[in-house]
Amino acid sequence: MCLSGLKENKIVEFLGSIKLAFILFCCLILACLYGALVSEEFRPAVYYSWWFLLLLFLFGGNLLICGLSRLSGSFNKLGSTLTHAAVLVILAGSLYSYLFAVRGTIEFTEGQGVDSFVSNKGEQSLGFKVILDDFTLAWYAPYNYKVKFFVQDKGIRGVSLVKQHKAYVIKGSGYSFTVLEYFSDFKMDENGVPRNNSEQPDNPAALIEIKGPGGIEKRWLFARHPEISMSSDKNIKLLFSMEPAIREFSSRVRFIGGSQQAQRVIKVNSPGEFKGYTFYQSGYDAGRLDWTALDVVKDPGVFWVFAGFILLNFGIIINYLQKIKPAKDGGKGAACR
Amino acid sequence: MQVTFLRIALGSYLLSFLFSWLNSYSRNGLFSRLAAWLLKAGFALHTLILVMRWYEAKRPPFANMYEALVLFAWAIILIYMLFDFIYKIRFMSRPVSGLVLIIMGFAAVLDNSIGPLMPALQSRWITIHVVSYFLGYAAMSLSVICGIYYLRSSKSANPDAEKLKALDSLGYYSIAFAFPFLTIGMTTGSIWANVAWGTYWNWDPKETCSLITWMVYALYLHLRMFKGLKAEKAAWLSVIGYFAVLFTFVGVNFILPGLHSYS
Repeated sequence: MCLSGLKENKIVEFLGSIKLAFILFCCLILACLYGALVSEEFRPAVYYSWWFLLLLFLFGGNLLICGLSRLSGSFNKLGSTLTHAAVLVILAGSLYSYLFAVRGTIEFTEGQGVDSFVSNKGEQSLGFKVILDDFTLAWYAPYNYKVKFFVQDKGIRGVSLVKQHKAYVIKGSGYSFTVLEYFSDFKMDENGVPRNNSEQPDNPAALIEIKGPGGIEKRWLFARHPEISMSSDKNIKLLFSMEPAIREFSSRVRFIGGSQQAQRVIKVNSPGEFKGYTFYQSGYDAGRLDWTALDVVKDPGVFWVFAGFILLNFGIIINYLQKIKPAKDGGKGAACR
Repeated sequence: MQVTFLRIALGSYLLSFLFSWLNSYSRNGLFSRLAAWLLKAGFALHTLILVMRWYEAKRPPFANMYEALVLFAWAIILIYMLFDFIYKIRFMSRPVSGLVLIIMGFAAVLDNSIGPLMPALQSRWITIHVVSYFLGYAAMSLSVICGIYYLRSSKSANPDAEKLKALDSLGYYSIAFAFPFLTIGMTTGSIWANVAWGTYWNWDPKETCSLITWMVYALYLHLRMFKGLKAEKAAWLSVIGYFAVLFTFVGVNFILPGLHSYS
């Protein structure tokens, strides 16, 4: 099938021409680059500006006219047709998202329930209630422990990421040190024995063995109290620090909407859905462990954009297999040995 | 153990580079064969390093710049060996081993400690997203080597027309091969972003630069297919495209921080 009528109109011919496609491609590359280079707060002003949207609209129009005027039943064009159709589906899906997607955030503490949220389109009612039953913040253990060292008489300083029972030699100083024990939340029990009070990084401490010219000594170091240093060797100063890394944060929530009820555990990379809304784990406060923030999204364009992605990948792979025929030139490559 | 293996692999690549260089002064083929075997030996060890790190870290080894560079160098050799098998491009062994040496040398000065994965990176999408991109970037590395070779050879006093034609074709084949991988990388990244943050496109600088890179190579392929882009112009465009690749991969992290600040 060939839409000859489209080809005969000069304006339509230009709008669907490859020349215009190249011009628009170059303009889009430059516009995207400009948007990436401006500071973060001005980016929406570029990517959602009338001229950027016009560029995308013209690009979509160009693809559509170009595609329709070259439409044929030929199997040879399957890859190319799928690819161009995919870009149109993605653009249409994005437009659908731009016009109709609702995004917002809900913030609550354990035991609290909400039935509305503030979105990009103002206060929105969810039509059901979300109750936060439990919020959990998990840390990686062991954490990243670091020791900063300074050997005064040699003027040597540095920092080492340390592991328990591994000796660290400070080259050229005559000193080495080994972390014997470390605690994320140091506490002395009633018998005066050091122990970990919890897995939370509330009072990180380490017991370090230092070997130096003066012999061997053991020293306690406290990340939050570097001023406490019970040491006989004043020539070597050590500072202990701990970088806690968050492993996971998750919310156990209940949705109650009329006769329907559901329970979900929402984590980063594992959102929860209820009645068309998707809830994403987005915020925590390490100083307030019963509080969390969830992003709420209802985006009808996602389905079309992802459908476009699938088409695009198939189209480009088919196009590669149909149009690139390496065997023909294989022999020429050998000439370059 | 990993550090020892890494040093041996680097030594193999260095020797491979030196033998490839010596091969240009000797035509008996011995140095060329030695260079190829050393590159293969280095690659086998390199693969072992990646597997060991994956096992030790209990996660895919692409969470920081050190791991990304080690993977990038590995992917370049993999794609080179694949292309050498298909197109017989032993002449590229020297620039490939040289490029791999530079990348691995850069990685060697970075912090190689195994860090934990932040929550956003704990996803099954990470493997397909990162591996696709690096296979694509690796093939683009071959295209830029062809482009530079072409530009240098075309300026010589007696350019070899057959060689120039082969370089031009090879540059095109590598871009055509890389493009589906860039597409898979970009689209899986977008799907992953939607799963993690609830939005498939944030106009984050890294995302935008990856789109620009994709568009530059899409432009190359269209110009090649419809406007007969060839020879010097094609070589220059492949060089520009590779600048976009490098800026997206490394430059953005230092100049334009955003959501991808970890990568």
